[in-house]
Amino acid sequence: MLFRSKSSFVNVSLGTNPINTSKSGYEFLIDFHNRCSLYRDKKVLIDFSGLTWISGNMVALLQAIMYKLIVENKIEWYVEVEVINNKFPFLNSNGFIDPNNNALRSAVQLQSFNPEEDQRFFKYINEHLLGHDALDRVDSELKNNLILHFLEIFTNVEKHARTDYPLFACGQYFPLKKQLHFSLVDLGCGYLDAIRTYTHGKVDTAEKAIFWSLEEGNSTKADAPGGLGLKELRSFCDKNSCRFQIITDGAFWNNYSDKTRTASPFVGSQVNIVFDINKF
Amino acid sequence: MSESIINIKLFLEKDTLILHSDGLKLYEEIQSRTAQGVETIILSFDGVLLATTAFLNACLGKYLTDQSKVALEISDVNETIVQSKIDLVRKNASSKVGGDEHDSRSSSFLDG
Repeated sequence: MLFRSKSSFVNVSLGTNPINTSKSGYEFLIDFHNRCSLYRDKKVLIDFSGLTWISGNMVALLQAIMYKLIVENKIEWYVEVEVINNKFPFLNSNGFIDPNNNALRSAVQLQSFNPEEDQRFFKYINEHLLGHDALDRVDSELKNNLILHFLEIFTNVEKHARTDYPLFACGQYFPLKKQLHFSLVDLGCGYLDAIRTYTHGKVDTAEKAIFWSLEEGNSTKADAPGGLGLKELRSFCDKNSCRFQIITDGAFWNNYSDKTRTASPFVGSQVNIVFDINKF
Repeated sequence: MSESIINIKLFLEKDTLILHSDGLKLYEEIQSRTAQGVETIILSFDGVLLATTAFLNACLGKYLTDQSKVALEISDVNETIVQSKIDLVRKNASSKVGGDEHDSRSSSFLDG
């Protein structure tokens, strides 16, 4: 798609700070969202030129932001493919950029899953994430356990998020650190609303909602027992020295500190996991 | 005593059992066959590779907490990881119905 003049685009920078799998990485992307949300019916060029780093898995949040603003603000997104190819070539391989499009400016491909697309999500995890060569030596039983943990997080969106919007998943393997980073983002109702209703107001803050959701047996499902997925994932992460983060309703929690910090508010929730393959 | 076998993989056409909604579908099938007079349902996990607790809670966990009248048997669990999740769901659901409550149903799932 070609345009005659750069002035037809609004240029919004992703900034210069690194976007890692961390609270600060989350905050930089929410800031990007807040700046872009000022525009309606515009063509927005995402400016990667000053960005020093973005973890591939955090593109899940970026894609969620882009999707939301396409629907709500009628924004059309563009990038300079050459800039991305030079600085972050992995954004081609993880589906963020259409690798077949060599235009200088390209409409950005989104990678997302509907909550009922369980088999496609499983295939993505099994083939594209855990199918990485670097994980060949990881025990198959452990891989299956990892897959199950990813799938449990996926099912939480189907059960609880109450949204018709897709969810966004992305992973990245870092061979030098031997770390596997994974992020899953939904644009649903977040944790607090459903838990507050279920507990008749006893759980009334985002912090309390996160801790409530991590306890065994706690679930807002009315049609079946539950409350095992997040608890089991937390146990696995603690046992294997993996980082586990939950961000929802303006609260950021991680398993290392087992505390929450205030975060910039955004719709839905995000789960980040960092697996240290060395520990397996 | 009439019994009926449900091969889960064939019923759902999936060997990786993930969704809460699929668990409910299986539970509804159990209820449907019970309504037709079946007294024992055998759930065959033959060919099932993975099962989430979300799925298992929606069928097995729900069976336990809803005090369904039919007897439930589990068979052909060939993957250790599936068995471990079934055990976890059984324990979680049992804690919700109360440890002291005697369950008069005869069931390999209940006995573990």
